[in-house]
Amino acid sequence: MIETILSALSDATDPINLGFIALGITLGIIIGALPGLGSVTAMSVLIPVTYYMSPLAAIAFLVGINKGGTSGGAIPAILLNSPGSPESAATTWDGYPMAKNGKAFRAMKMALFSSVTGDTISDVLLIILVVPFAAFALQFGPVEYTAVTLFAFSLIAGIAGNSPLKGAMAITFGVLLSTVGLDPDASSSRFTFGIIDLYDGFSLPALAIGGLALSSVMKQLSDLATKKEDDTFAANQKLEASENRLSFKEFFSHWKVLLRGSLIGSVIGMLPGLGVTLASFLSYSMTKRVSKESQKFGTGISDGIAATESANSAVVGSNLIPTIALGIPGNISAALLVGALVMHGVSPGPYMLKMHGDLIYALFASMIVANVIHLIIGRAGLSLWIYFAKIPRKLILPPIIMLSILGIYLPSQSMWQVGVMLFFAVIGLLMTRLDISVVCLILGFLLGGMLENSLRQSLVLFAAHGQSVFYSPIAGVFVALTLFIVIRAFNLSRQKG
Amino acid sequence: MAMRRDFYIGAFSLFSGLVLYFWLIPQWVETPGFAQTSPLMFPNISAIALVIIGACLVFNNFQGIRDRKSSGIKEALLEAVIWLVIVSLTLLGILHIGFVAANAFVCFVCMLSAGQRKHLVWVAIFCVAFPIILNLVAAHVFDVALP
Repeated sequence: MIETILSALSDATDPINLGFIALGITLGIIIGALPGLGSVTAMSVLIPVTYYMSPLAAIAFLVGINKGGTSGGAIPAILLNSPGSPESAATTWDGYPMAKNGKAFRAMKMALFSSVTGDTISDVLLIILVVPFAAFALQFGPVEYTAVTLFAFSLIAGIAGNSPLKGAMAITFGVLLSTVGLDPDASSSRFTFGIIDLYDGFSLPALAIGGLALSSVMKQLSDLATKKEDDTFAANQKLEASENRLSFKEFFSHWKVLLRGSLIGSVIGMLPGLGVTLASFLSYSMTKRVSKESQKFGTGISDGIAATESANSAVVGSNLIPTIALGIPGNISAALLVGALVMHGVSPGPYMLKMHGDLIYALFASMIVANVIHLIIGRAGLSLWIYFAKIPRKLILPPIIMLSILGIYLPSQSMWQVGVMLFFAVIGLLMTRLDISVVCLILGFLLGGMLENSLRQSLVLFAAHGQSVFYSPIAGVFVALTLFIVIRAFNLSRQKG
Repeated sequence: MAMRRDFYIGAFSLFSGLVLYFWLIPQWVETPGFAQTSPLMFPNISAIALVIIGACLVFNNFQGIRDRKSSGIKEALLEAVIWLVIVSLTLLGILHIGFVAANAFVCFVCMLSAGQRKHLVWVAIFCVAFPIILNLVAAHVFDVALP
């Protein structure tokens, strides 16, 4: 055991690994600080580049981007009242008033320290809980996997947008997309339409970059072109540059808020589909409710920033628990990590700890090291990030299109993949305009193959062993939870209708 | 507006499910005799799910059809078609005039249409220099020749 820990620490502190973590965090903060972009965009665009790295460096780099991007989103939220990503929206409520009162640096420090604290608590929980979770998951057979995947789908659809039905529709289309290519059992072709490139099916990077990153770029460019959004505020905003001290003693006087936020974020991160945004809003509202100074929330109070930032960063670590233990990603960032792991020949799931234990423990060590690097880089670059937050989007968005094309072309060297990415970018844009969740489509695509395999294996077992196969208490619990969520969502949508 | 939009989305889902079940799946999913479970099964279940979800959406938003306000679908489709034309031209441009020239042009046009009017010479220089740098990085760092 001690040998494994020492080996993991040695791999994590390898200079190349540290360099990639630092690069990932820096890029994450910069992209997070650019209004309109976020860690998901950064991860989507940069996943193909990780093809050229070692598995550990690749995953550590992407985790670094995720950590940096989540905290970077707070910078424009505080300085410009414009969150870099939806999960930082609640940070604007107290961050911007603090900046207007001449305490911009203090607010940014509070956001950074809270973010690192939430991240660290969540990483520790990940390290403690992943082994028992994986041991529990080893009892899962095809029937249990089918039930858990259906439960994940019901949660994801229930949370997506205003309509669970539209979420379910997007998931079903995603599942259908996963069936394109060769059948996993019989190797016969499905929906290939005589096109050779379709025999391998669609690739996750092409779908993710197109549907998530490029569609968002297209939407923002359209809005700027049609003047639905104004881009001049960033350039005209005067920033208060005076240094505001925030001592560690003062910071840790908010320990209750930080702990609450971190635990809320960690629990939400463990459940598939419940996003980072929900964690930050829930933590903010709970902190406000129990606070003795609840009337001061929204006027520039440090507790507001601590609650939001600790919660949204705590999701980053804990969403790897279902990802590693079950192979079911906690959210879209974890789904992108799954894509990167698969690209490097590592299949997420309970056997991952057994088969790639060295990699996983080195990843855990890298995540803890990444938090220290995050604190150093985030603090040292505080004055620099402000300049990135001020760059107008009309200059930032078009180069993202180029980077996306390059990102997808480099590993595949196929114009077909570029075409698929661009096509799904347009589909993603259309879905966003019609208020249909693209995240549901991508998660449906990612988990579709797993659902099909486990369902078909369950049916083969049923043919061999009869209905005794279905007497599984674990599957029963998950089926009951799924039915509860579906019925509740249906009732709610009928009431709304 | 939302009900009318969701009614049409439901109708699309219903129609897609039916087309898949009765035409696309029988036509484009091969079924060899030796498979333990049919390759048709999962696509069929998905198609049926689309029909059910679509029917629920139509049923829930049936009142929306009387709504006279625009559903927003036409505008969204028009925007999607415009982007489809742009990305198709970009793709053709990359294939015929190369990555650098096509991307430099698209980048400059996008910046102009997004409202960039100042420092156009510097913007143009950036739009040409950036894809050249990417091309050099691809060639010398990743050893990949871009089109």
